[in-house]
Amino acid sequence: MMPFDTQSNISDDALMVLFANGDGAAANQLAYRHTPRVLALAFRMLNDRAEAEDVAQEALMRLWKIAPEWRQGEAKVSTWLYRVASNLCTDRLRKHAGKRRTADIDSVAEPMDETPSVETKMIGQDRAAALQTALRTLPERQRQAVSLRFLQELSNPEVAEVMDVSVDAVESLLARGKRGLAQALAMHKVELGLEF
Amino acid sequence: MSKNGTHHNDGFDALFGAAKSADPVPSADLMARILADAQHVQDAAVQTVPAVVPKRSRAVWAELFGGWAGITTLAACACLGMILGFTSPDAVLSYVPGADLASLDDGFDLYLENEL
Repeated sequence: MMPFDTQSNISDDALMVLFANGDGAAANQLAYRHTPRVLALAFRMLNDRAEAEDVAQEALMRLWKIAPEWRQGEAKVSTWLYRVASNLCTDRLRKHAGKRRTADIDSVAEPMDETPSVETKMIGQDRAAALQTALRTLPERQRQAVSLRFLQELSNPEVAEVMDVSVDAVESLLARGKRGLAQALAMHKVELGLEF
Repeated sequence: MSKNGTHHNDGFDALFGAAKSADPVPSADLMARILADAQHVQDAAVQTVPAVVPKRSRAVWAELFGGWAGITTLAACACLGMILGFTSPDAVLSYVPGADLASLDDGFDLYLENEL
């Protein structure tokens, strides 16, 4: 298990200043604090572990480079990173558009961890895999909004800031995204024990 | 869907909760790459800071005189003036109103007389 250092009380803004002043420990804290969530968002959007890791690395690299010019209090590091990662994912998705095979909810029902031991764990894994597959059926912006709001647990205004749209637009994307998910999962809700 | 909308959320909450618990964990390799990037950026910043300051200072002076071409021209003109002044002072003093070599010599003679 990796020693994720998220316990520190030092603010992200202060860590950015420390990093810009050459403090290596600040890089450690920022990286361990933000990489997991950036990686998770990238994985939700790209559905590819290797590509998601590349996006996370690139997003953090941009954070290191912007550190000397970082303006405290203007933006949250987490929001800034989500925005950068989202844009990187969008670029990759557009590059790969047409190359990716169409998502088929029946074709990808395997959980990430293939060592199920108890029924509840299996159900959880099946649900996670089903959601990941259903997300792929959504248009890119809806997938992004749903991931940021419900998986990364950002507020609607934060999602709006990351996506550079109004809060009303976010609410609309979320409503349509949830409808799309419900449709994509309709055939599987009984076996997954879900009720929409 | 129920009137308060919770009926829909129950299913989604279960889904999202399961998905969050299955989030990918950054590998040690990824973290090592990210921290190596950070170190590289910090090292590069340390190396460039001392080099940038004098360069910027020189650039400001050069800009003041119209760039490096301006400074070169100015230096060449100054040298030419010095050479002309030493080799043919008559030609130079002809451009100075009320000044000639004779008056300079008179002034020097007067100085010598007073001193002696």
